[in-house]
Formats: sequence, structure tokens, C-alpha cells
Amino acid sequence: MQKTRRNAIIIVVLIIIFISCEKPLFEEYEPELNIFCLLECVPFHYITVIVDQTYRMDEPSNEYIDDALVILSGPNSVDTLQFIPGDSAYHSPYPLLFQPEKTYQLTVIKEGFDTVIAQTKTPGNFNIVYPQRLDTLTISDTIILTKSSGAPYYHGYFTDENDYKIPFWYVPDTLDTLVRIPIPFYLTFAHSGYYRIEILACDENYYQYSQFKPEQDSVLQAGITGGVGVFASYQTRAVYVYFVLE
Amino acid sequence: MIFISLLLLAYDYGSVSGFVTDASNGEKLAYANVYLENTDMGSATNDKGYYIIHNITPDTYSIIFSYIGYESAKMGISIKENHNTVINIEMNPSLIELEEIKVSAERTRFEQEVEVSHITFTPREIKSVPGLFENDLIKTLQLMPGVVAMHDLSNKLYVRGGSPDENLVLLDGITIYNPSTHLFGLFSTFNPDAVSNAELYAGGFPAMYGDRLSSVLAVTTKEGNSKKYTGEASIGLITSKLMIEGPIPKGSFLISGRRTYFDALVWAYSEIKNDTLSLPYYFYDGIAKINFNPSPENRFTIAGIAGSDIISFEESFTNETEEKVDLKWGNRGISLRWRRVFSPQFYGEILGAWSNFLTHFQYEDFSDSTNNLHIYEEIIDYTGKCDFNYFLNDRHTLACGIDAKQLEIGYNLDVVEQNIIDQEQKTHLFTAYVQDKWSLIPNILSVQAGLRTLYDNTYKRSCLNPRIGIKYHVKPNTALNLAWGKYNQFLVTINSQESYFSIFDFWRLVDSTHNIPSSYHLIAGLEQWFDNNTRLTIEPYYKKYYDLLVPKENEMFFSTPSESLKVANGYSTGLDIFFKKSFENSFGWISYSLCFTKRKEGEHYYSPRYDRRHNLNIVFGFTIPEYIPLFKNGTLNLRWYFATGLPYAEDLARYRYRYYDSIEQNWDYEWVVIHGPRDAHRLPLSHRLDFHLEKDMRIFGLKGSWYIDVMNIYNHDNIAFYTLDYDEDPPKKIAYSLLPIPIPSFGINLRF
Repeated sequence: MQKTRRNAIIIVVLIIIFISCEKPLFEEYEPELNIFCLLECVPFHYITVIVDQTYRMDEPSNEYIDDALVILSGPNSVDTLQFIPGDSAYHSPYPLLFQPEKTYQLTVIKEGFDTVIAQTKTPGNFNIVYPQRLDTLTISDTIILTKSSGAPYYHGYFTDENDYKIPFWYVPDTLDTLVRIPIPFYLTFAHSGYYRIEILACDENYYQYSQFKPEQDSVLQAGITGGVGVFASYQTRAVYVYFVLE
Repeated sequence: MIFISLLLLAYDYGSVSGFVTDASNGEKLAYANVYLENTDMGSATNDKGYYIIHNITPDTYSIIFSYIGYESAKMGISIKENHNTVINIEMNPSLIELEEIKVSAERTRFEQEVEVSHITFTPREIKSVPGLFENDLIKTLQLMPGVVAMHDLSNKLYVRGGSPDENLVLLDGITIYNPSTHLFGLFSTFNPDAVSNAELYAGGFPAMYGDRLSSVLAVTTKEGNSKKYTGEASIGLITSKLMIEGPIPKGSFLISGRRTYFDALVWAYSEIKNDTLSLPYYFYDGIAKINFNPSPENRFTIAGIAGSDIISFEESFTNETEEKVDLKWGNRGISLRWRRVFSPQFYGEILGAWSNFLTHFQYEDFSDSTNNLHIYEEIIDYTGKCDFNYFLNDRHTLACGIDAKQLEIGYNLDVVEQNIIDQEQKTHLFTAYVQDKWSLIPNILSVQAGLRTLYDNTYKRSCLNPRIGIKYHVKPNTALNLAWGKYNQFLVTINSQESYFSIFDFWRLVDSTHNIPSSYHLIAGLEQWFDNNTRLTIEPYYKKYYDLLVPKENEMFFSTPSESLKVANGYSTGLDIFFKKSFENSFGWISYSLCFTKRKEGEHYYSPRYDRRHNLNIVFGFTIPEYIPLFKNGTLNLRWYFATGLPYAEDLARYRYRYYDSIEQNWDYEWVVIHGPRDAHRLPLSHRLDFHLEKDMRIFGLKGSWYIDVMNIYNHDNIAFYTLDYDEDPPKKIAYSLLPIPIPSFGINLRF
């Protein structure tokens, strides 16, 4: 009887050990390239691309990677970008012509990392309907734009005479043919004076980048495959106005 | 037809019934053994101390009452045809244990009840477990199989893979919505001095309980001494406690309270030293109970609980108060219960209860009222309930009941003197249940089948919860159990139950946008008694969850379920082993839990943060032998705990997120952390040894005792979480344990 009990206990213990042995779920993390490029869609522009990487928690970080092969492909051109140590970024050796509503591809190759392929489609042209140059604006006014095709998101700055920038963001109503951006309420804390309103019509990748919350979110892949980061494009329009605080 | 046949069979016999109480204080004695000498007829008292023996052939008998720790009582009775003889007995506590075989309440329960995963605690057991600064009921429950604590200081119950909000917690019938809120979640609401017993159903609970998915904790406070005025006082490191009980005409009362006093000591010190030092925090709680017995058949009980944690401070820059901060939270509740024995076979209880948990935060800026902030969150529960038990015969015990509940949940936020949020949820829940405990083959095979229905009046929804339990006594000392049941829960919490540190839960009604969460329990069990004081239970179980509502990441409070919750399914399965043995001067138990808990969102399974695979507790207590001079006849209780690590999301990597800093007016970056899967890594093993040493003494002629508790004697670092210091490159990983040194505490108890 005692032997049976002992055997039963041994069997139960063995069963518990057997079913509770688990294979660890984690796999070793492999670092990836981290790309940062916000492409402004204007003629004759020196594109800037910062190439960096993700770092394991136990490895020290560097500011940038300077020996990657960075290739920009446009509708009619393929250019290899060069690393400029002065600003720790890759640039085109000459100004490039960026056209609206065209797709641009960035390829970043670096030994020991997966190759990054990033794409962005530049937003279409747009105009500022209201205000016009040196119009007077109040907090209750609305900025009106024509719509930029392929731009789900608008971003901009009020820049005062001291070059101080007050940012704003806006996601337009999809049904409206125009974009109507209310003057941000926090401009009530600004002062009366001349301002430069700069408005960026941003592509989907830019919107994704702007929505990313570094303290909450984990992986930013705005237009990027094979790595992390952002490759986005935008068009800019600007107007000078006089803002009156009521 | 079966009932009628059984009724006919009962004809021409007599019966005996009554209550069994403690002669020293009038407390009921649950699961005392009652039998007729030289016959095989017997019974046991139920949890109300009531017993009945049916189908007795008219004759004269000797009836014997026995209960461990009490002198057996014997008296002659005459049983008459079709007549019930009432014998209410008071049993005297025994000063010397006699060499007779007595059966413990647990053993009697094993013979009488069809239940699985059930454990009863006595105050002695609660007080014998080493505690952090003082004993705590919830901490004691964490030593039971199937119950997991998330860390060394945790005072929440994760039962068989269920989260704390899936536990129904009752105190004298009052629903307690946040049982562990004192000292930021370190202590429970239950003052151990006032507790008579605590019952935990870790799963498969019967039809009389519902509206929770995992478990039931039913705490009953003491009745109050109906014989004489007595009391207990204690001074501990954190709190002082006082409990007074005594008789009133045709009844008894009990009142107990405790309060932290560090704030008072700091205040006194400041007054003496003319200092501005202050500790703006304290907590208190109180439990009161009055029993009134106008006749043996009727008992009225009023029970109440009130407690609060309070943080309050003012900032005075001149002689005038500039700012004031008040934060308080706490449980309150009251219940009125009428128990009536309508006939020897039929008794019932009617209960009315009110329960409230309130969180209130107020910030007042006296120089600029636009900064004022006012937040409150409240749940109010009005319950009306009737429970009836009918001892049809020695084969059938019927139970049924109805329950009507009004729930009100309010949450309010005022900012800059404007009401931003003012929302209220209100509903009426109606419940009815019926249950039969049927002894199919006496002493061998019993079945307990029940059905519980729930109806939500606001959203016009109903649920049907069938429950069944089967107990098969393979041998007199061995039983196999099987239980299955369905459970629903109409209330959910919008705060994460996976948080390491949370003081209280924010409850919401499940609104019409979601299905009502449900679970199914399937439990098989083996219960073996090696002798009257040695018990082994082995229970494998499987629990399936549907339509669980878990918080979305990064959602703020004061939201509705539709805004802040997402749907998950899941399961938990495992094995609980419990071995308990009592000797003459010692006791101990070993509890082991193996548990696999998974939640499923979409098609993805993951382990929640409380998925602890192995959990082992060994508790051993003994009376110190006489040859150890200083501590002779004292008691030493040891607890060793061993557990495998909880899952967590390891920070795998980091990278730069570049952005335009509109404050600094330049481009900058911050580090983004790439987290691993939420359950891919596990914290290291945890283990620690605690002890509780207690020794009787006399102070000013009063009986008392002193005690010393030490947690984590051998100073093992049980890692609770990690942080990363980004000031270093690479970031430095820092491990935190919550008991970084052995934590001693001590105190004095007095009885008068």
C-alpha cells in the first residue's frame, strides 16, 4: 500500500514537471536600421537622410551610421546620396527636382543589417485661400486651403517676429472640398503682431510619424520596411498675416 | 413525485433539531458533530450552527454533541412519532484535551457537503500567519492553493488565473467592492480581530453565489459574546486596535476598530519641537454588529463596516492657507439580517444591505480658484435578498433564494470650476436560484445541482447559470469530486488588473455594446483524509472565459466600458494540491498550485501578468517546548514561499525618435524603447521565509501576548520589476525588490 502511494506521488510529481516545462518564448533581438527623412516636395532640393540603428539594451549607441549605401529613386532618376560629416546625414550631391504626386523610394544598405526599402508619395499641390498676405486674423478665424491630393493631414507653424514657432495640426473633413483649419485656441496665449503661417500638406507617412507617441508606442515604421523610422513627404505654403488678440 | 415519495417515507418518524453554540460566548459552532449514541444516525451543524436529524424511530436515545476543542455533551432525549424535538445546546470549551476521538469541522464538512475548492479559515489560522506589520486575512488566503500574489506586498487575490475583480467578496452579506485598499493596497478592510471565519471558494461555487467569474470570499464577523463583556486591544507597529463585545438583553454586540497612529505621533513630535513636520496620511476602519434574539426561532442581526484612508494637507505660505489637498477612499456598508426557523426543516434569512465605495479627490487653490480640481468616483449597492433552506429529509436539502440589487456608479470631474464629466450608471439586477443537495446513496454518492438566473433590468438581458457537483465517497476517508458550472458577471473594472500597484478598482456596468462576460468551471478533485486531522486534496481544473473585458492600453479613467475596454477570451487550467495536518501542539500545511493562464485577443494568445506557473507555500506552526526557557509555551509559526516568475515585457532595444521641439525651437530626439512580447520573459524565482513568534504574558493583571513577525528572514531579493537608467550608455538595468531587507514588526495584544 505504501509502495503504491509512493509511486503515485512520484507519478504526480513527474507529470507536473513534464507539463510545466516550457520553451522560453523570447528570441534574441536583431538590431535594425533607423531612417529619418522628411522630404519637402519642392524643385531643386537637397534631400537629407539620417541613418541610424536600433541598439540592444546592452550595447552602447552611436550618433549615426556613416558607411551605408543610400539610394534615392524617383520617377526619372536614381541617385546615390553621400554622407556629409558636418551634419551627420546623407545628402544628394546636387539639388534634386521633387514633383508632386510622385512616388520616391529610398533604399538603405548596410552590412550586418536588413536592407531598408522606404517609399513615399508626395502630396499634390495646394493653395492658401484665406488669409491672404497681411490680412488681419483673430482667434475666431479659420484658415482655408484648397485640398492637396494624397494629404490626409496638415501641419503648420505660426512664427512670430522673434522666430518663435507655435505648431498646430489638423486632420481635414474628408467630405469638404476645402480644408478649414480653425486658429488654434492656444494662440490666445500668444500676442498680437505679425506672424508667418507655414502650412505643410503631409502624406500618410508623415501623419503616421506625427501620431507616434515615443513614450507609449514601440515601433515606428512610417513608410519603412526592413527597419524603423520615417520616410515622409510634404508640400509647404506660407503667408504673412497680422494676428490680433481680442 | 420523488419528493412526495420521500415525504411519505418520512412519515411515522420523529426528528431532533436545534442550534449548537459556544457556552463561553454564544458564538455558533459550525460543523459540530451530532449523533445518537449506539445508532448510525447523525448529522452536523451547518454554517449557521443549525442541525437536524431526520427519520428517527420513536424511542429514547442519548444524543451526543462533539466538537474539537470543546467538551462533548451528552443528554437523553425521547423521540415521538411525527414530532420534532428541539435541543439547543451550549458546548463548553475544553481546558484539557481528552483522549477521545473528535472530528474537526473540516472533516465533518467533508462528510456532509458536496463542494470543491472550498477552504474555511478561523481567526486562529489568520492570526498565526506571519504578516507585514500585522496579520491580514487576504495575506493568509494567499497561502492557499490556487491563490497567487503578484509580489511580496500584494494584497490582491488572483484565484486560479482569475483577476481580483472576478472575486465576489462579502462581509456579513455586504458586497465589498475594494477589499484591499488600506495603506495604498497593503492591508485589507477586514480587521482580523472581528472575523469569526472566512470561506473561500476558489471555483465551482454553488448557486447561492454569483455575479463573479472566479471565486467567492465570504467573511463572517463574530457574533459578539452573549455571556459576558470581554475585549481585546492591541498595539502594533502601524495600527492600534480595540474590540469590545458583550451581552445585551436577548442578544449580543461587538464593536471593533483600528487606526494608524503615525500621523498622531508625528503631530505630537512637531508640537513638542515646534516643528512643521507632518504626516498627512492615516487610515481607520470599524466593524460593529448587534444580535437580537427575541426567541430561539428568530434572530435579527445588524452589521456595519466603515473605513477610510485619508490624505489631507495644506500649504501655507503666509499665515493663510494657500492650497489644500484632500484625498480619501474607503468602504462603507451596513446589513440587516433576519434569520427565522419557520419549522425544524425550514429556515430562512432575509437580508437588506447597503454597500458603498467612494473615492474623492479635491484640490483647492485659495489664491486662484481656476486651478481647483474635484474628482469623485463612487459605487453604491443596495441589496435585498432572501435565502431559504428546507431539510426535506435525510436525502434532500433544498435551498432557494431571490436577490434584487440596485447598482449606482457615479464618476465626476470638475476642472477650473467647470464640470467636465458627470456620468452615472444605474441598473437593477434580479437573481433567483434553486438548489438541491441529494444524497443518492447515503454516505457514498451525493449530488448538488443548482440553477441560478440573472436579469439586468437596464439592458434587458438575462443569463442562466446551471451548476452541478458530485461527490463520490470511494471509501469513508476518500472522496472524488466533480463540479461544473457557468458563471456570469455584470460588473467590470476599467483599470488594469495586471497593474503591479493599484489601490482600488473603478467599476462599471457592462453596457449594451458588450456581451456579458462568462466563465465555465470544470473541476475534478480527490479528497483524502488519512486520519481525522490530516487532509490531502488534489484538484485539477479547467476554466474557460468568454467575452472578458480588459482595458485598452493607455486609456484614462472616467471612461465608459465601450470607450476603454476591449474583448478577450481565455482560459486557465492547472492543478492545486493541499496537504494539511494538525498535531496536538503543532499544525501545518503545504499548498501547491500549478496554473496556466492565457488570454486571447483576436487570434493571439498571451499570458497575463499574473500568470504564475508554480506557487508553493509551506506553513508550520508549533508550541515552543518547555525546555526553551525564554519562549516556552509560546508559538512559533513559519512560512516558506516559493514561486516561479511572472511574465513581463522585456525592453529589447532602443532607437532615436527625431522631432521638432517647439519649446526649445530645434530638432531633438528621444529614445523609443522596443518592448518584447508582453509575456516572453519571466522574472526570476521568488522565495522567502517569514516567521511569527507569539508568547503569552500578563500586563497589569490582564492576559495578553506579545509577538514578533519578520518577513524575508534570509533576505532574498524577490525581483518585482526592472527599470532602465538612460543616463548611462548602454542603459543600466536596475532590479527592484519590495522587501529589500528583512522587515520586522512587533506588537502587544491584551484580552480583558
